Amino acid sequence: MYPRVATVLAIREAPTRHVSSVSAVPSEQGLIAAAQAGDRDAFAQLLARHQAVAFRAAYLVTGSSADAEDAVQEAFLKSWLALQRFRSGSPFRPWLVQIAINEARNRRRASGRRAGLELRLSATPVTITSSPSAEAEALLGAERAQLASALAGLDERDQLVISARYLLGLSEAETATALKLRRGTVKSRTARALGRLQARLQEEPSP
Amino acid sequence: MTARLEERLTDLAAALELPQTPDLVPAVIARLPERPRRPSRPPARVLVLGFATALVLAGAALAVPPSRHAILRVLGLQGVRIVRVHRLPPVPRHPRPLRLGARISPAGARHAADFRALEPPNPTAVYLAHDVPGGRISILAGQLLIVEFRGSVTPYIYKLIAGGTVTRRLRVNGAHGLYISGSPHELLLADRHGNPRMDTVRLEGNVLVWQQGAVTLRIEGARTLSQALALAHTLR
Repeated sequence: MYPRVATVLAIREAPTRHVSSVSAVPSEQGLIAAAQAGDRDAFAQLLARHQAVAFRAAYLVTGSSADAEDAVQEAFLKSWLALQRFRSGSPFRPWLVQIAINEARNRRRASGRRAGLELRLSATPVTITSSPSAEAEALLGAERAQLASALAGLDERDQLVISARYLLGLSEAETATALKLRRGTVKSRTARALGRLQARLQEEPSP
Repeated sequence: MTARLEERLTDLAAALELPQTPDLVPAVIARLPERPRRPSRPPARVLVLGFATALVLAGAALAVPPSRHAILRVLGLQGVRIVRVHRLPPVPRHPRPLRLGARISPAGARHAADFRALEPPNPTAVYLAHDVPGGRISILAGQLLIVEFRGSVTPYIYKLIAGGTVTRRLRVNGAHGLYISGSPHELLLADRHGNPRMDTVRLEGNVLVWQQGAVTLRIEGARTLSQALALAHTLR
């Protein structure tokens, strides 16, 4: 069974839910309330918890580390300015990702680059089976490259919804917030995007 | 079929080569105004007029020799022009992000620019930019930002202050300094000819600025004067 990205991300990210027995870990809602009251330390903690996913989202859209940094910095500043309008009780992560994606898209448009995911595969093989043979590893690498190529060929709407769900590991509800869509729309759009991705894979020769 | 495709996408996510996430939080925190503010959204024409008015005022203050000399003599700060205006021009809705330059090793920071930079004992990160003659060193020390550049008669920084912003003259490490606090003020960077660049305007909170030898330094992000002074005293 392949490990789910959501699980990996959940481990990498700092905990976002309040654990009442561990008083040293402030709750996310507590941090939001403090930040809304002007507490910069609380805001810094919120950003630190979610800057990795915000940066990954911006990088996937811009394909440039420098542009992603700029986009995320600007997104953080805008989120501070907009924090008073943040609805109490809502999750912070997808809201921040939404701002980061918007900034990244603005930057990509300003630079004149066309929409398209920049997916680079790691040179280090990711071992997902117990002892893959060299041949199986090579085949897996080729399959990944084919999938990345097919994904990059989809239109921007399809790319975004697939990226949010599978590459960033956002839940359906988080994806809805991050992309400013209804939850039902996320569901249907994801299904259609997966269908188109499957069709593109079938058009391309198998590795 | 969809389940298999979902598994492949999940596997792809793990195999993607993504750059390491830089720690952007300290630089952002150092730039925040004191409290969350609703962004003002004036019409574009008002924005342009606001800037034009402020810059005319700034220009008028700087164009009159006695006024200009008085500012320099009183403050003893080179490379910085501080202009009090009746009302701050609105900040653009989309200010440029803070560009600190290229990250460099703290070990090499002292001699990276054309002047001898001063460093705190344990800098979080050091950056070098070349947007000003002689270079600009930016040092993150926790959540505080220290910016250093070679002082000269040609201004590099314009500060527009209005009512609600308090300026206090003081000595910092034995040199002339100024602490700007209270309501946020606006900062504009100048081009190489000393002309303010409107595209660089941004709001700034409390700032300690002073001249130490040939170098002009400023500390952003401190909540109190004593916090800024404590950091200034550690610079070597």
